[in-house]
Amino acid sequence: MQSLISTLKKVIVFSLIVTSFHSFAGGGWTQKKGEGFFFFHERILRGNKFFIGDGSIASIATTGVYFTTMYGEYGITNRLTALTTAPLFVRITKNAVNYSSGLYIDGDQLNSIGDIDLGLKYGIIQNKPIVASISLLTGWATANSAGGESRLLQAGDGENNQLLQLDISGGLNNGMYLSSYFGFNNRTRGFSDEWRYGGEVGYAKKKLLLMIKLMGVASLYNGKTSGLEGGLFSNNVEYFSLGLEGGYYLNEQKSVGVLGGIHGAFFAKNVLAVPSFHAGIFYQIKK
Amino acid sequence: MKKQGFFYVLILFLSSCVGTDFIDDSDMIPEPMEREVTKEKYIGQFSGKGSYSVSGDVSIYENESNEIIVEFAENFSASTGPGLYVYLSNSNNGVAGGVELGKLESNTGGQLYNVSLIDNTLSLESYNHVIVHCKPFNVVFGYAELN
Repeated sequence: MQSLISTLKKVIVFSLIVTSFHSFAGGGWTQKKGEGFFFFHERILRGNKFFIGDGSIASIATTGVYFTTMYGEYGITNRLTALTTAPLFVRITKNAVNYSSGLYIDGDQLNSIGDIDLGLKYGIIQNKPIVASISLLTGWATANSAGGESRLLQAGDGENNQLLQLDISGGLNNGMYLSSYFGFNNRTRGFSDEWRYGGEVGYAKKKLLLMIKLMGVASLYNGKTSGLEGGLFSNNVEYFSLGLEGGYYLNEQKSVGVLGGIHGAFFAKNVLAVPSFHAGIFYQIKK
Repeated sequence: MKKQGFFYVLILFLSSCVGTDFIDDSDMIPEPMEREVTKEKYIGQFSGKGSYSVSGDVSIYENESNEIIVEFAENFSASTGPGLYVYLSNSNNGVAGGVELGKLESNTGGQLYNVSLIDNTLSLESYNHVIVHCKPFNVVFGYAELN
């Protein structure tokens, strides 16, 4: 008998989206007034393995998670930057399961807009070798959190959250930079609050961009252990993951480029045990 | 460039289709238990799987009409989750080869499931586990071994 156990879902996707691009687009740095960074991309996870609540891996029905997202930063002033992560289209699929013994479990799918994040970043220290900023990112439950024929698939977690985050970054010689962040995510509707942390090493040479990222989420386990309204697998998500990303500027002005990467977890709980892939095109407004 | 974009969209579309997983469970279904047949009930106690919490007592017995009944005791409690169903199975890892008794009536408290209404060929000895199973995601929430 296959070792079933826990399943899907998406919160790791949301988390990765939230944390995956900020360093590239700024980290501790804010956008200058009137400048901006916009990244339109697709993120894909698909697999039949899942990190269950004790951290071990179990087999599940093949599940697909597809996000088409616009990430944006825009400088309102030299110190204040507006942020958004807008999953414009989210598709969740779950394969049917056909056992040789005759047992058949139907497949299902959901298409929806995702949960949108809006926020502000304020530069505490700017124009120094080491810069720091603090961000407040609010997550809004704009997604369908009870969809599909079964009404059980979710494109969002159905809760509004507030992430307060400190970013510290510094440039090194030869086009390298270091960046780190630490944040507290206050979740509502019975979801456990979270610590978020991570670090990044980046390298930029001519038109080439390379990034190595470490990202973590730790649950405070202070919410309900489960809840229909929150989704079975969206509470008490934890992970520590490694991401490798690369980008390339498509023009001499370095205003347009492509960026992609792969992220995978060393350790996780209550999320899909598959790597996530993303790729897209970015546009930078520079003055 | 347009062709590359088209193929990218095509691959994305095809990969996002809902397919079917085929699982050969023919060698995973244990032989039925050999137990002494009595009119007395078999009993078990639920345990949660992974991070899920399922607890309480369960029994299986024949009622006066010779129907097989699975009875959850008043102390039964299970984590809330979507699409929870009750199964009889010969494994604590899944429900392949088992029989579905119906949707979990309540996450707490006593409840009865009439096995004979679903399959009147089954006996008390047909299965040795009661499973609380999340059907949409094929996840075992908890199980009780019947002794």
